Amino acid sequence: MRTSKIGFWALTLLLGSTVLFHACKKEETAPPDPNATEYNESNGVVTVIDHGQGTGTMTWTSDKIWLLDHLVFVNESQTLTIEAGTVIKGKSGQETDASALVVARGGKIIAEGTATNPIIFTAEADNLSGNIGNDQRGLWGGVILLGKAQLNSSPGETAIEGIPTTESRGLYGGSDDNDNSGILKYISIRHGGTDIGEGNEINGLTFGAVGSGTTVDYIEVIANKDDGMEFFGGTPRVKHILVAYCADDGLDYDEGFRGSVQFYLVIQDPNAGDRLGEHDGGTDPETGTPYAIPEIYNNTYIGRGADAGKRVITFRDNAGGHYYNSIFANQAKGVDVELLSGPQDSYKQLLDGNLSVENCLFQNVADGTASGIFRISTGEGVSGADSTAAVTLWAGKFDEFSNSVTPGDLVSAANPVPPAGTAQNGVAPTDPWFDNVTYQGAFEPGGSNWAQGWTLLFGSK
Amino acid sequence: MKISGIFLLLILFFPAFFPVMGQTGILRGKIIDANTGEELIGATVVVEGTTNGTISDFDGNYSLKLDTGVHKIRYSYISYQTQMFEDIHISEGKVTLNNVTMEEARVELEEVKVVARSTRRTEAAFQVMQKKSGTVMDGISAEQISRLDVADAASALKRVTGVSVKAGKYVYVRGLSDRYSLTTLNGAQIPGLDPDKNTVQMDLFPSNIIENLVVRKTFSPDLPGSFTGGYVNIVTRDFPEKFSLQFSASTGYNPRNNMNNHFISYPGGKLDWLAFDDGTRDIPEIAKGQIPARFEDNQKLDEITRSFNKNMEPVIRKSSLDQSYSFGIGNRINLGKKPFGYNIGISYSGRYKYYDNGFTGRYKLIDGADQTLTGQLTLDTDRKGTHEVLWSALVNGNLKLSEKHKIGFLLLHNQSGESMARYQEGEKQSDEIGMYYQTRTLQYLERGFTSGQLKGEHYFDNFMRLKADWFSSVTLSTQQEPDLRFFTNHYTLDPLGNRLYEIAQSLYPVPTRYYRNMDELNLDNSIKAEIPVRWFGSESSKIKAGGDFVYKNRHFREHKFTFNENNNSYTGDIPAYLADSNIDAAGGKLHVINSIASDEQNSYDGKQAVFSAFGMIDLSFSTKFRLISGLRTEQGYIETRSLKNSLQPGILNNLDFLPSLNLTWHPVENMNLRMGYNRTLARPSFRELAPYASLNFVGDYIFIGNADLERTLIDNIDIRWEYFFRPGEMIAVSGFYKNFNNPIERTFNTEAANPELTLRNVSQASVTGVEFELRKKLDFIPLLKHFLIGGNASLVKSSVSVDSKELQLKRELDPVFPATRVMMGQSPYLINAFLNYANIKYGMEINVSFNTSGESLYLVNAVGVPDVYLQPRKQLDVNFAKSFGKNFQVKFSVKNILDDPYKITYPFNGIGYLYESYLLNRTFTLGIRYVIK
Repeated sequence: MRTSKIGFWALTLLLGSTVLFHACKKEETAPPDPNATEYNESNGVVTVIDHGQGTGTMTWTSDKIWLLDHLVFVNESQTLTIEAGTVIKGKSGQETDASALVVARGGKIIAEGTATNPIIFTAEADNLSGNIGNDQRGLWGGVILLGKAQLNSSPGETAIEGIPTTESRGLYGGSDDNDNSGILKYISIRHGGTDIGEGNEINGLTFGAVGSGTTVDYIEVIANKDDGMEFFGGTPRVKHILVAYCADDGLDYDEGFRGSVQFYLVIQDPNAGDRLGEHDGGTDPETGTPYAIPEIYNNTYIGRGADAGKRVITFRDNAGGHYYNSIFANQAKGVDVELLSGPQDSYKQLLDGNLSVENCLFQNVADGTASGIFRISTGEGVSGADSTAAVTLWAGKFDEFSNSVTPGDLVSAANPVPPAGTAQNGVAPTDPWFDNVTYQGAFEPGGSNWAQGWTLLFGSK
Repeated sequence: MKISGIFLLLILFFPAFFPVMGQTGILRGKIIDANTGEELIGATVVVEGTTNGTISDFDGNYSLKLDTGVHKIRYSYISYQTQMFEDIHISEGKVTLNNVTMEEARVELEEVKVVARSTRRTEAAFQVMQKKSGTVMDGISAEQISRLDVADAASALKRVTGVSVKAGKYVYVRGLSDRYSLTTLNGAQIPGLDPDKNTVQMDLFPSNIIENLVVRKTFSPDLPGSFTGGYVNIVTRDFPEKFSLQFSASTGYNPRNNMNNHFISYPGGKLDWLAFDDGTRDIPEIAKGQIPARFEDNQKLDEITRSFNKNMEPVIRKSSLDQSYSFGIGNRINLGKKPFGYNIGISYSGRYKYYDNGFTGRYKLIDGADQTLTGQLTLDTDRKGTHEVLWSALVNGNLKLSEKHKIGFLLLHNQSGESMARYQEGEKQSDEIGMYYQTRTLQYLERGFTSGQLKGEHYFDNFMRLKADWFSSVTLSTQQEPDLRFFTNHYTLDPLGNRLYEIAQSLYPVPTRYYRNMDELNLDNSIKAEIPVRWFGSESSKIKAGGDFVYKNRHFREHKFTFNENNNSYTGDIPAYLADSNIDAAGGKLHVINSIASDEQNSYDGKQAVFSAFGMIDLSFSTKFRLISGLRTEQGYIETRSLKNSLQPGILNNLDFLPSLNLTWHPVENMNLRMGYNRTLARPSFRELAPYASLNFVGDYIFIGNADLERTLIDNIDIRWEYFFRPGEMIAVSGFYKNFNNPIERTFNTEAANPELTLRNVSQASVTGVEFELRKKLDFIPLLKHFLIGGNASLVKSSVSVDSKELQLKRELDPVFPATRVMMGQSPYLINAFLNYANIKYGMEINVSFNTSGESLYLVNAVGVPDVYLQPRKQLDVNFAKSFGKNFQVKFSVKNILDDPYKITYPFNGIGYLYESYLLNRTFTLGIRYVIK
């Protein structure tokens, strides 16, 4: 095998001059129209290939299956409407071959499903009749919303992870916190999260600097290989979210997220998944402003169990944020706050009143004690005294913030609705955007499961 | 071993090379102009009082058959002083050498009588070359290389004034990176083997094939315009004066590298010992082309996943001793009455490198006000074992068609194979404090370099005494990195201290195998002509003109396979994880994924064509001044295309005019004062123009090329004073200033989600420096008469503009962030020193050499992270050689006596946070050498 290689060299040496002719040969490359988006219909499946012009302003109708081939963008000033009941599929493949729907900055998506007729995003291979198990991840990309709200990273405008900086439609960030990227309602996003490039998996639903004018309500993200949802800065407000069986975090935020979240249920696969909540303040620098201080009410996080060694929440890289009225269950470790040697970190946010976990319930989390659940994560260079003081202070906040450990099991992955009469120690939200409830967790105890009927996890069409 | 067969074969053919003996001997030598160092063509060599004589050829070489005994020889040339040598001994069947330097005649033609003495071989010749060069030149001769006892060109070059070698192979001249240096083989451009760089990897040239390494630091129009720091010419052994044969063998021992029971390695192929992969590391046949996605054809996918071998972690395997062999033979014979000189050289070496004391760290500044850096990744376990095999074969021949025409050829192949295994472990704080990261790398790097050259030299004495030379060179280089494997996982500790293992896809790449393949073909065709002119009364003035065409064609291909699974089934046991029983795509277990579009995007073709033409004058005014001036034009075209054709191709097409003016003044004999102004250029490399992203190590930046790069123009001003006060002794002081217009600098894509390195043209850069060089015999003290000391030192200062976008970003955090910084890889100082003891009577030589350089910028970091610097490292080597009789020599050397750590750090607030470090320990080498001259 290798001797043929030596032969090849010898030949090359002898015929060196002929290679000169090769040099003069021109290679021909020219696609007919490099920018037009292709909509190729065949047997009721429309394959969408975006060469730069985006989807255009149009409606994807429920009588067809829309197949995303590589990245498909809704370009600036385009509006993509998706009818209730429409199925959108993504082609398989990772990195440059990844498929995803990206609503670029200045573009809009109007995707309003209904409780009986949700919009489904899934993998090409999914026949929607159960051929792919509920825990099969990474078969296609995901859905990405990009907006003009503010980030706390420099220079305030960033390319969403995994999309090369040469693709200007991947940029997000600006100064309009009221920006509106459209409406997402009754949507189920399944089996996504392929690696989009350089080790970046796509989240089920990614928010890059999305503004508060956007409506996001009743969304399921199931079996994503990365996070369920990740929020990069911005001010989006999301309600009624189910994140199940995702391989990374349940709720992830970064780059100065200042949104609002209510009724966000995370159910982890016992075999996969990292943190239930991963909360970072900033990146470069970690202490960029505005700080990440979202308001979060009525979340229910159900973890992988005591053996998996995972955490409920990590607050780090100067993240703040307020959790109220939430239930955290079945996880080996509790809520960590990062303490670093520098002057500004998540622990400082706690001292400044920008970080709290209040009126929450803990079920089978860590060892069930205040100091076991509320932990400090100490970086190098912090003095022993500072560390000890922080540990004591944060553990003391468990009771101070009116948190408690449940007497028995209130919620489970099979039934996340607590029994009637339990979990009633919440506080009333002040912001009128939130539903004015005082129970704890994502469901009214003893009430119905709002995820029933339109999700893959709790049954749908 | 198998090599012995090759030797046997050579020895069998051996008698064919022996010269025919007779009752006579041969007198040979070279005649050169004392003023310019140029060869004198047509000088007459006659046995005094007879008509027995000859004339020198266009190389100044002559050869005369004489009876045994003592002869009186007269050397004469029109308008030069005639010289008479009275004591030339000719012995039976032997070649006697006599090189002659002739002075231009001044007023009266007077014979100069010289008693014959033999010149020391290459070193003295090198010094003459240096003294007589029209431009600033440094270098190292074979004799010095032998004295240093170094293995390859890279280790030799770092001893040259102003030269440093990074990563053991990349040459920096005058503080300028590989972008600004150019390496040639006997003057012909040759391909670099690094996919990312422009440069030739110097470790690929074993020292036994080298006659001289010449480093030209100033441009002249007859040289390619694409060097600014230095033009490094690897000169291979040429026309031998007489029969010679050498064989050497050596073995080396380093307590860490060799005979180590803990050495790490991995199973390779059967031909690894020959520096070839035998196919063991190829992509499995079934995995070539499109492979099915999950749920497309799960059965086939499983079959493909199972087809990869299961070796993804280092294994412990005892290392043996280093070994090195070389064999060379050269002679001058007659081919049908025409003199033919040839050299054949082969060499083979196998070396081990190992350290288990490495450290790799990544740090970050959390807030602008912080006084300390915070660890992001601290891998305090770092073990690396490398086994390198390098062999080389060279054949060259030169045929003198007549005294006026000579043609020659060269065939050279160098082959290198490096098998590397590495294991690193430590905390990855960037993701979680208390998270321990473990990573393994298995790499095989196979490099091949094949060059064929044809050359000719012609002298037309009837036609304006025109001298022409030409060459045509074809070089193919290949670099293959088959089955580069990464296997990374982490673990955390549960409250009982048990390890919870995981492969976190979102935090670092899953187990991955890369297959990379690069080949590059270079053609270089050149022709130069010169005619002597008699201006200003000097014989040695001339006009030169010529042109050349350099064509490069490169292909780079990458294939990548990642090993994915749905759930985390990794329990800390790699064989169990990769076992066939854990491969099941339908069940969400291990399955391989390949992205054809990514492979296409990361693969590229590059072409470059440069047409050049030059004209220059070389004028001597009296014997005091020499002016070399002219113009070179270069039409350069470069094109890089990704196989993904929607990516913008990088295309450059420029016509450049490069003026040159160099003046030399000889105020007194053996002293030169040189001044020069020259313009040069630097073009981006193929990779730099390819706009695709690549990541080499977790925690490092992604690098992405830039298709919009422009070439850089550089104005160079040089001044140098040199004094060759005695043969073999000299002192020199040089100064230089370089101004760069549109230099290419590393910077950041500020919009990237994860910091992304790229290159952009920035407005300006400059480099200023001084160099000192001294060689002095200590024979003025009788006790120290066998000692020679020497050394060189360079002081360099550089400044380059920070890219405007990067600067804006950095000033948001630090309002006083400077607008300029030092150039990448530039050390503020470089120092070399040596002490040599040579006692010919006892055949003994001892050489002590020292080398160090100041800290240099290694990596520019994004906002919030200080830049990283390579720290100074002192190296002290001692070599000892003793000859026994005429033919045998024993050598012993101790290298790296100080065992200074190799260290790259983030200097911050007086602390050097470690980016990477390791220690190498001392190497002891014992060798024998057998020579027939």
